[in-house]
Amino acid sequence: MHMADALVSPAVAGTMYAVSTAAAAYSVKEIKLEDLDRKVPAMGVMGAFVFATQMINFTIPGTGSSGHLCGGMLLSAILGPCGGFLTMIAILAIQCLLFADGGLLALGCNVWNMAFYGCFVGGFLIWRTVTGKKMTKGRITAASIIGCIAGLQLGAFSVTVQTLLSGITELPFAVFLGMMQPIHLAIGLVEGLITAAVLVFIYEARPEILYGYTKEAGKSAGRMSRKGAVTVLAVMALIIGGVVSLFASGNPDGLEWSMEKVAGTAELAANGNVYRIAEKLQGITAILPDYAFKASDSAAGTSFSGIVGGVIVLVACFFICMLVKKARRVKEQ
Amino acid sequence: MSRISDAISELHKLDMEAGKRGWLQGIHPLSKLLVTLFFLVLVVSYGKYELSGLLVMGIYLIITFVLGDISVKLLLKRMKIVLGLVCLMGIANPLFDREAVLTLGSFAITGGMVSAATLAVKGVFAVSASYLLIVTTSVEDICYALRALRVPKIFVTVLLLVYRYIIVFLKEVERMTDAYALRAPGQKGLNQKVWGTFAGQLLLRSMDRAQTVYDSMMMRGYNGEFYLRCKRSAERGDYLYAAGWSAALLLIRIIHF
Amino acid sequence: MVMNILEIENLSFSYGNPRDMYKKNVLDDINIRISGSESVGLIGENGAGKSTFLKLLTGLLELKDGEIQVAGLELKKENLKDIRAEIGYVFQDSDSQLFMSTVYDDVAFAPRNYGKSEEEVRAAALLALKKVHMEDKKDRQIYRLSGGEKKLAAIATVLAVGAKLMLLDEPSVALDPKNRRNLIRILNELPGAKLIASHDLDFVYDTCERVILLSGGRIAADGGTKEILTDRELLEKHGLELPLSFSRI
Repeated sequence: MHMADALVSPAVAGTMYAVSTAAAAYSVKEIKLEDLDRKVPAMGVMGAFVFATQMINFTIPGTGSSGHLCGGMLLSAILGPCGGFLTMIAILAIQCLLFADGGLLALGCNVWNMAFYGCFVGGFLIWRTVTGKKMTKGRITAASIIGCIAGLQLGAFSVTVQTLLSGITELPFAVFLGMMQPIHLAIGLVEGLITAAVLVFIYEARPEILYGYTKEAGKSAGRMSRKGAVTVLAVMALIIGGVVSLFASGNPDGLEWSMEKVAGTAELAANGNVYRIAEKLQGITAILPDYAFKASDSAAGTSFSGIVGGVIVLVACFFICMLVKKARRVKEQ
Repeated sequence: MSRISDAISELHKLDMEAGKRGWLQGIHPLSKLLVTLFFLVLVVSYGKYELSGLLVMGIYLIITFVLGDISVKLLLKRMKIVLGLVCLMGIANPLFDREAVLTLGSFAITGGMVSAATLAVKGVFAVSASYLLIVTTSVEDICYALRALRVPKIFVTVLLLVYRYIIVFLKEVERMTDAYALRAPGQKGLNQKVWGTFAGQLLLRSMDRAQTVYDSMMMRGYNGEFYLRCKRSAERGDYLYAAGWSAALLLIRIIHF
Repeated sequence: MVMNILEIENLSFSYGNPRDMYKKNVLDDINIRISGSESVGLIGENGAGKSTFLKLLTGLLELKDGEIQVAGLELKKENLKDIRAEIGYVFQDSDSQLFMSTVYDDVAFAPRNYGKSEEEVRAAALLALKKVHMEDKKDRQIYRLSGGEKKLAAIATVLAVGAKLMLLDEPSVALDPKNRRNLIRILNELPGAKLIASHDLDFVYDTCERVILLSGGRIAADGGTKEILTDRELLEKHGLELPLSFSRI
């Protein structure tokens, strides 16, 4: 699900960088209230752990294929959503820098699609709702599966929306979405099962390292309060609203996509102000396309000579550089 | 598992490259990071039919790769992932967008073909630019640049620690999967029965390791700060590098090719 | 009178709740004095309490019973930072000890934390690396070091703060013969007190002049290296064996 730089437009990349940075800033603020000195090495080591275990192939029974571990969910269940989120960002940054898995510019998108949904929706909202009152093996399994599926569904949806908003593919929205969601439903289920197996093992072996576990196997000791949960939800609703409105404004006549359809979802209905905020957000983001350097969406700008000219410039540049290099060598000798 | 040993050798090679002494390696990490980001933004800002203009942006890559003596061997391997992804997204363009924009003899080039090509070029350019950054700049130096950009130190510290322990864990996972494979011949991956114990054991050991790392930090007077080495402060050459490229790239972007 | 670098009086320790009546002391009434230049081997079978002992000295485990003085400072929370500047702890697992990316950054970590200027840090780090003959590897990534080099780098991190007492937990584990010999040579070159906890009695024989034998949380013997390590009866009684170099004779 890693987005490459080529798949995003500056406006989408910038917007996603901004929202991911906001979520990261919130996490940094929250985590500073916890036992930070001890948490920092745990975050670093667990990050490397998740990175390495994501390379293990877990065989899916009855099929020839294999699945992998869901990092965001697992990290949040141990480090808490904020610690998990920051650790996931570090993992994604390293994947992109060292292994070219996901782009540097698309990092904001990738953090949002994978780390945010995985940690705050899967690892916080769902984990806390399901295991908050009582932690049992069944509840841990349920939380892991629902959390992974929810996280991946939202992530896949964002990938679709971001790609289409960036305007790089001609694939109709419905077709794209129809491809992404079912695949990620299956992946989510498998990842959920694997993550559940690991967390259940931890629960049996050393439950005290699970986030929110207390001796009475009861109350969640998680630091984040209901206020935190509401904030996270509100931010999410706002962003989904913003992205959706951006999409709608970019494609006024596109498909059968309409605001009414989306407004039916819980996130938007839950908050009456969202419309107004979304409108504002739309106002801000709508300026961005105007920053485009010239009318870029017309095919008229393309000419065969232009392309050939471009290639010639590059070839000439290459030879000049080689000459400069050679001259430098000769001079050195 | 070959994927793991691949990853390990990749890290080794990158580190060897970044440790070389060349003029590009010597430029301040912040300058290089900013130029890279600026280049990426400009590259993705090209419209889907603006192939000709986009191509000219390649000047940056050619000059730096050739004059910086950058090995392209590792780069080609990295292209695979991104080209696969780009093809997947771009494949639909020629099918849906069939309006002919140019004709070459009797052969019509459609808008979809141009936009698919643009996408591929963007992919190649973006991966090359990121590669150029990491192959001339060590992760510690990038972390230093991030600190200079006011990224919170908690995050930078975690990033450094993840980087430090990736190889340790990759090797551990490799040993474990080897040991598993030796006792479970003919299995492709990990049987469902041991999903939890296999990764769970490693997780518990990781937490113990985290405790030792914490102890080791405390033994050496840790007080919440990882001091990052600053090899030197930015000099005129570094400013010149950043400013020169920014101006040149912007010029290329504005002029209509 | 020569000041002792380490003085331990009536040290006892047990894990968990002190009121639990079924539990046994991991350490029981330990009394030790170590002078400023002594090299002491700490031996004993698995579970004898060696690691617990080392962790208590560094304040990583909280002292409950008894008194410990390091370089004249009493071991308590307020003094912890000063005490840790005097004690260098070389962990058994070098990979956990060395958490920075490059050798130099790791060695410089402690001096930087003690607020030294960047020039002082540099001087201290380079001197420490020189002492373990690792100057030429200062810019290496830790993960590219061999096991022996990692151990030496770990020792350098401890030397960089000028620790007067060095604690080494199983230093010879997983070293090949050449690296092991090298480590022995380097340890013998280093001045200052050392406390080496090890199962490798030959290693202890080559590096220490005094040996303390722990057994079941108590000191079973304390004396000259030769005297204790050649006493087959004593060693076997406490679950140990003669060093290989003697058993062959």
